[in-house]
Amino acid sequence: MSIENLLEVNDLKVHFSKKKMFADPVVVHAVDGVSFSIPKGKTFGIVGESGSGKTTTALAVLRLVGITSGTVELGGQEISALEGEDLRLARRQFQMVFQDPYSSLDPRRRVGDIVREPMDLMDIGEEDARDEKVRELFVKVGLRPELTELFPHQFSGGQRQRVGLARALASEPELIVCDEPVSALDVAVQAQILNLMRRLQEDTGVTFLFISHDLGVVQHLCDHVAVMYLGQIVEQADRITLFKNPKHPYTQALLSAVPRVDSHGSHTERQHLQGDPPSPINLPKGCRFAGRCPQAMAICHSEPPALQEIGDRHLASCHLL
Amino acid sequence: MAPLLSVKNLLVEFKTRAGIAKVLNNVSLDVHSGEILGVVGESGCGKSMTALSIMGLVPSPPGNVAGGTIELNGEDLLSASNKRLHQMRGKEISMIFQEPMTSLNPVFKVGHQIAEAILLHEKTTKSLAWERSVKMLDRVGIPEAAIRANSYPHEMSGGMRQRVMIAIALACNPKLLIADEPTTALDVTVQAQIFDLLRELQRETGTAIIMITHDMGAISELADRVAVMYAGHIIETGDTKDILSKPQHPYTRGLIACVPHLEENPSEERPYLAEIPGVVPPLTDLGKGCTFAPRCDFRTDDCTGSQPSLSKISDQHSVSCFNLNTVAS
Repeated sequence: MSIENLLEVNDLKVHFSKKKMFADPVVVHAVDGVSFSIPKGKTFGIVGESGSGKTTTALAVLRLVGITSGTVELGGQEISALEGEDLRLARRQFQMVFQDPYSSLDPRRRVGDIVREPMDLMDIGEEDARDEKVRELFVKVGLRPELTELFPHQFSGGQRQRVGLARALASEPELIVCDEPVSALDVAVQAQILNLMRRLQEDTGVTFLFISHDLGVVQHLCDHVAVMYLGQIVEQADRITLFKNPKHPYTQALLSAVPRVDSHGSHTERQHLQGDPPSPINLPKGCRFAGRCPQAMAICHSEPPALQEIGDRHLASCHLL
Repeated sequence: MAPLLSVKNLLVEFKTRAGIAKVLNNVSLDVHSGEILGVVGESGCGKSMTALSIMGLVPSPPGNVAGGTIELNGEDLLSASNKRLHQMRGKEISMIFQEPMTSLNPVFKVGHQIAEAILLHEKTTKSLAWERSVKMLDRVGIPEAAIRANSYPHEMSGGMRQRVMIAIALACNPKLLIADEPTTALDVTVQAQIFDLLRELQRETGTAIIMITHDMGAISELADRVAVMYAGHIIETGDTKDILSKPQHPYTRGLIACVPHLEENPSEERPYLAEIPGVVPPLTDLGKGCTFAPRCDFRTDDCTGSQPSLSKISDQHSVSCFNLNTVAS
């Protein structure tokens, strides 16, 4: 089977160390050995709770945070090794859409200029043709082209997120990283943006790395899904397998914790996790989930399980398997 | 049985630069003892303002309660004195908020903050109030309550802080608890814990709960009855089961259909999500027709003429729509 992978992430680690005046520095293991790959034109989802390292993974892929070790390859080019001007020019290939459409657009600039800026910075296309390109992008994301003259505050949240998508598309990137792009939006607007993302992918063949805590959204949008817990991927599979046949106890607990519209009155059957995730500073010696796991055994507390292949492109790290 | 809380034809207006914004229009709802009423809608639909009106906390000016009545156990809250409202808040009606970090005082121990609510409403000693607050912490599921009572809010996780908020709200056994998006800021596994806790406490104490949320899943989990709001109006209300399985108003249908619901058996086929076209109208310029008409697929001439009233289609289920027959088919 030959699937052309656009993005390959290999054993990525991002550690933050915090210096203490009279003690050893504290190391936060935000991302601790994450590997995954995304086929061209597909959508890869990372889900997890706050503090699981999903956003830091996204930032590391974009080179917006220092990588401690590991490699990130985009289309065969090792972007984790680029520096300076090389890195700046390579950024044309990977763009980002942020969570908060209210703070990710410069309030003092016209939205047309905001969308045009990547083209100016990367020197893409003829200068005279860029304004026309901006209007085309506006149409593509479902905004009227005459709106380019307005300022961000004149737009609703959903429209701003459309501007954010237009800006990300301006440099014709191969990969767009979306960090919770719909979680600040109302559900009706969320549906509009999710449909737009899928149409854009069909039109342009762009690849998405999609970060979210909302399992319903991930199930709807993503072709392949990874579940993160405390800086590591605990399970990863295609969307059908992961949601139909979750193997890791954390994935199972996460899925069962989501309130469902069709399950009115049947909530008693579900088992809920107790407690909160441990701190990413003092990591447990064994499995990171052992402290909250309903099925933990002795070995779970002493030895970390390895991520192993348990089916076709289905990986999970658990001693039970 | 007379309802515990009865809101009738409530009108709330806000003065803005763009004119008078009609934030609540003829909102009527009843809450009975021991039931959980879910209020659901998008931002700006008036669900939080309904809660603030009940608490007597509408900021005035610019806000103004322009009409209607709110009665708790037969007592009119709108004409009650400030002193009386002060007695009631925390004692008879309590509220928990979305953001558990900003609603706790960062410079006081959590035990102190629970005891404060008790001391304010009951004649008791400080040490007895402290004992009660430890008991409350234990009851909301905080381990080692006697020790954790000495913690400050920043030493606790988001889920723990929300448990503390619930402990404060329930310390004086209120008859009504208003929960305004209590789990929106929390992770799903913690959200499930808080839902379990609310359900359990409600069963023990019989406190009525108004649960305000934008999440139909949360409604399905907790609420006995639902009121769906849109642009300051209640447009559909009924039993949770009926609303979720047989929504009648085009907006309620859209609201349920546009959310990608988590399925246990996802199929290969992925149809596009249903969209509600357009945006919520500005509250300063609602016009005289149905507020949802500009976005509605079933719009007729009737709809632009006047706002349909909430009418019963069965014993428990009311909808405000002129074209129920066409919508149903």
